Order: sequence, then C-alpha cells, then structure tokens
Amino acid sequence: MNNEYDYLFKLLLIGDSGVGKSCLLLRFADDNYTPDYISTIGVDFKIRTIDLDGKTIKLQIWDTAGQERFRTITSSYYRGAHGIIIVYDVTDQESFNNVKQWLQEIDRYATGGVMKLLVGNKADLSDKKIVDYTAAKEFADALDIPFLETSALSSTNVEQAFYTMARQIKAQMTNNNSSNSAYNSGKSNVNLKGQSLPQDQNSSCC
Amino acid sequence: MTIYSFHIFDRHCNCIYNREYSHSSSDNNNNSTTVGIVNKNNDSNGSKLLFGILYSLKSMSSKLIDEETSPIPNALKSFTLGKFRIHYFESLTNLKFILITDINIDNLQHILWELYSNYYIKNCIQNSLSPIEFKISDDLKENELTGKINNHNFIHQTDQFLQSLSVFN
Amino acid sequence: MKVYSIYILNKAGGLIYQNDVNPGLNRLTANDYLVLAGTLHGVHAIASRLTPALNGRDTTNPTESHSNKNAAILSTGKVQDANSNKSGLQSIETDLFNLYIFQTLTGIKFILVTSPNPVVHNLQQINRELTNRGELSKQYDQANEVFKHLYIVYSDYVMKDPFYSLDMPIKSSLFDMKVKEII
Repeated sequence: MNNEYDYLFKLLLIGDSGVGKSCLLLRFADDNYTPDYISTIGVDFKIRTIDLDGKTIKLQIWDTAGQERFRTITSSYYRGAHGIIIVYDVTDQESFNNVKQWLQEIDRYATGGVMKLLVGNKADLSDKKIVDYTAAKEFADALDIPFLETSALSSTNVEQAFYTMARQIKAQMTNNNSSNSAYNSGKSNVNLKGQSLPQDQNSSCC
Repeated sequence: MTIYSFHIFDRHCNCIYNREYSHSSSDNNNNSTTVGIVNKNNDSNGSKLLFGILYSLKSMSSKLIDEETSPIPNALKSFTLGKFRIHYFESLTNLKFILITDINIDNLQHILWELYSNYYIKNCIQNSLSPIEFKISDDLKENELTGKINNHNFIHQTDQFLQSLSVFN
Repeated sequence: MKVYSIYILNKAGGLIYQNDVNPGLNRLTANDYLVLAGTLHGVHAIASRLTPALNGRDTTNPTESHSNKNAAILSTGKVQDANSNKSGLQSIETDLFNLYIFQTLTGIKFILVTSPNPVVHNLQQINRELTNRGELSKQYDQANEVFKHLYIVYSDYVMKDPFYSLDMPIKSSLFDMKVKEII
C-alpha cells in the first residue's frame, strides 16, 4: 500500500530548450534511468526521496520540454506545483532574457505564492560565460527569488537548494494546517487588499 | 458508427501515412472515395502528439503486466479520448496502424490486421519500387518523396476496403 | 469485471493513493508508480488538447461548458454529472487489462485498472464480431458505477478527515476499509 512516503511535492523545471534542464538533475534523482517521455509528451519525471524531520518526502520533479510545440501543453503541468525552478544558460543571453517570459507564465498558470528558484546553468564554461553573476543576482533579488549558479560538474548547491525548497514547502504546509491560515499574511493566497489579481481563466478546472 | 481517419507510423516514429475521411453532409456514395485528405497532416503537431500518447500508453501497458507470468507481451488495443476511440495494432516490425473512430466501435483489431497483412504487405512490401525505410535521411526534400506512402494502389484499395465496412459511416 | 487496482491522483498529477485490491498486475517500485501517474496525467492533458483537433465538428466550447456547469451547480447545489472527464483520456483497453479514468470537477483523478473484457479473437468471424458491440461500453458503465461510490467514500472519509492535508498521500485505514467494501 501507499505507505512509503508521507509527503509528495511537485516541483516544475522550466526554461528554454537547450539550457540543460535535464542534466541538472542527473545526479540528484533517485535513479538515473528514465524512460524518454520528454520528446513525446513534453514532460519527464525525476524523483528524489528525502528525509526531513523524520518524514519521508518524495520530490517529484516534472522536467518540461522547452520546445514551442509543447508550450500549450506544458502550461497544464503548472497546476498544483509546489515549487518552480527556472533554468537559463549562462553562456546564452537569450535564455536569460526569456526568464521574464517564463515568470509571466508562472503568474498565469501556477498557484499564487508558489516557491520559485532561478538557476544559471553551465557555470563551468567560464570562458564562454555571457550572463554576469551580479546581473542575474540583482534581477533575482529584485523579484525576491533565490538564485544560484551551477553546472553538471558541481551539483552540490542544487542539492542544497532543493532541500531548502522542500523544507520551506513543508513548513508552509504545516503552518497552513495547524494555525489559522488567514493570519499567515506572508504567503497567504487570499488577497485582502482588493488589488486585481492576474486574470487566470485558462486554469479553470482541468 | 464512423471511421474518421487512418494513420500508419513507422518504426522511426514518423507518420508515413495519414488518411482522413470526411463525412460531410453530402451523402453521395459515388464520390466518397475522393472525399477527405491523404498525407496532409503527417508532420502536424496533432500527429506527433498522437504518437506521444501511443508511445506512453504502450510502455504503460507493458509495464503494468509482469512479463514472466504472461505468455504473450501485453498489447495495447485501443483507448478512448473524448468522443473518439483510437484502435491500435503494431506489427512485429514495429509498424503502427491506427484507426480513429467514434466510441461505439469496440474492436477493430482484425481490420487493422487485414490492413497490414493484405493491403500493406501486398502493395508496399511486395512492391519493389516501394522503399524499405520511408525515412532514409534527414534531408527534407528527399522525405517529401519517400517519407510517405504515396502508392495509389494502396490508397485506393484501403479506401475501398474501409468504405465497404458496415461501420464506416 | 474484476478490479485489479485503484489509484487516486491529485490535481497536480501526483499519486496520492494506491490500492492493489486483487493480484493481476506487475508490482513496481514507488517511483515507477509516480512516473506512471504523471504520465497518465500528461497524456490526459495532451488528449484534451488533441480531441478538438482530430475532428473539426466538435462544437462544444470547453470554457462555455464549464461556466454552464458552474451555473448548474450554483443553482441546484448539486453536481449533475461528477465526471468532468469529457475530452481527455477516458479508457485504455489492452490484452490483459482495462484502465478507466474518472476526473472530478476539482481535478482529482480516480483510476481503475480492471480485468479486460472478453473479446472474440477469431479473424474469420469479422461479421459476427461487428455485431458484438457494446461490450466495452457495458464495462465502462460498470466502472463508472464503482467511481461514483469511490468518490462518495473519498469525500466522506478523506476530505472530511481533519488530519488530512490536501493533495498529500492518503493514509487512512478507514478509507482503505471502505474501498474494500466497494469492490
């Protein structure tokens, strides 16, 4: 029976095609073997089991295809995601410029208050590096998103970032359960100030 | 009961034949052979997504059944999407035959088998002019000519066969 | 119809409940089941995009039908048809099992894997077989009946459980018991 895990978190990996989203997780996932679904249905799955405070947590990472033809479909994968990781390639300015568009997608399709993380990939290619660390860091800080640079060679900080994210999601969840969530003004999804929320008709049911 | 379309995918995941039948208001049986389109949507997103669904469901079907306990590998036969049922047959050479119908038709395995064993083998395999592999290179122009089944006999005979079925209309 | 397994997927496509009621299916690892659930979710999403494209005559506007549905719920306080799975993947038939998907208005998916329905395999009996229609829809109706009960039990014993956190794995022995009663 379904007793192997206590929590199941959905993390979504987005970014332009060719930024190395899939490589990012090769070492992080439980098993390296994955069937090749991404070219056919636009998504691949990587799963990592972690232990936090005595609870077993499965992080199910949805690795989405960046290709245009899956764009309408990947939008339906945002639903119910707990965390979203936006990846760009530090050797490719265009992929960094597109981060803004990906953030817009998140606003349109994902749940409000979803955790975000910005990752600059391929940081080992220092001679080809175009996107400056400080520029990206500034950009991320302005939006209040955690940021890190990584490469397939050294993925330790990715691991760290995922743990942090999992911990935050879990904290948020237990918070919402135990106390009256209306008082959690920080990440509350309910807008009490009467500002207009981003229009979100597409993500009505299914 | 209606048959909407007929697809063949080769073992390289290319849609090598795509025949869509249109059942428009004019029910004139005489010109029905020319109604619909042939090989127009082979590279459309629709075909690619259809293949994606097939591929995923196929691997799921084999995964859920323990290979050691069953004598034959578990084969996907059909699935239902909205108002359509998609019938599926795969030959030993990994050719995939697909018929899209409405949901009132239960089982067309024998029809798909017939299409493969009689019409495909006779007109495409035993035809020395027909290529063995439909996609021989990534060269697009070459694929225009060879990437699809353009065999008139095959198109004509399968059309006739499918239209002769009681479930066609 | 013999039920092999029941899965429940949350609205995000995560597997939150699994119950292998009867033997008949392969045993996979927990991760494989998660991948399986995600794949089904993905295929379902693609299928809903694909269906209008397959045929131009599909006239029902999805957003319109949703608002109609909402209006119906608001006016009567009752869901007329709990199954919102109108355009996505609904069933799969293979040699050795059938699979059915039921989606609630809130996006929860109930999945039922059952024994396959009997089919005449003789190629010579084409005509006989063509008249032998309706077996699939019969079993589909049976599956829907099971879904209805499952949904009720889910609403009563999972959603009303004060210790259950939404979208997380269901670990209620009471629910397990009630599911067994249905089957």
